[in-house]
Amino acid sequence: MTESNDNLLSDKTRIWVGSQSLETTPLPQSWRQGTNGAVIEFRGCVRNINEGREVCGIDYDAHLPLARKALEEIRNEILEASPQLGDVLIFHRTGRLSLGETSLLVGVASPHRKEAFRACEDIIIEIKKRVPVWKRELYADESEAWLKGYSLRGPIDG
Amino acid sequence: MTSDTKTLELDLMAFGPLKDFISESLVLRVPKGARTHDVLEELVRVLSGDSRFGPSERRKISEILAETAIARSDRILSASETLEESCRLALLPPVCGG
Repeated sequence: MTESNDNLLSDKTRIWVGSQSLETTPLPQSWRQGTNGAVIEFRGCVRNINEGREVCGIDYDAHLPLARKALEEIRNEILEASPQLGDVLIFHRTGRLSLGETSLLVGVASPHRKEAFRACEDIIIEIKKRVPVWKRELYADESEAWLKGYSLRGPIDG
Repeated sequence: MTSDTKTLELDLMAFGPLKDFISESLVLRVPKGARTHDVLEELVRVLSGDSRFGPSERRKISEILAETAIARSDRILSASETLEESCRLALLPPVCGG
């Protein structure tokens, strides 16, 4: 499921989940025009240590339709809550990533930096809690482990 | 996908850590009108009886399924939602994007 439906990124793409590399993906050139005085590019990258263990890569699994839907909802909520923002994009990788590779690219354009930084942080927090993506860390000793996360399960009514 | 009028056949797709226990998909039979919560309980019962898994794996399966959500197509179902027809469901363990 993670390797299919990979659509190519374009300058107009704002939400994307797939296995294509994001290493050279730029933010839209159009963001550096008009009223945007702040353009933030956040990259989540695979780091070499987690909880004291030597990491050599991460496998990302995703439920693609739901992940795209959740990212779209997060983007819409942020733009609605902060109408002064110029634009937002969120791209998330799937598949096997090596150390240093970009797993998450969040871009925010805004007239001022304060709301742009705040929006970027809020987006990342929501992604971790709501988007159906799972990480399996691969360690230097050749063991591996799925990381803990947030449950999407609601309460039982009645 | 065939079933009698009182039994549903649910084609379950596993994601994330559940892939360690359900390789591709698994067909589960439940009574018509079962809640999604009942589906997860039945799944725990079925996997607990699977001779491939030892005590620690069974404990792990129970822990994960206690926090697993169920989705149909691109919609996450509530725990009390009832199922009236055979269908394909996704098992979504706790998520950790980013």
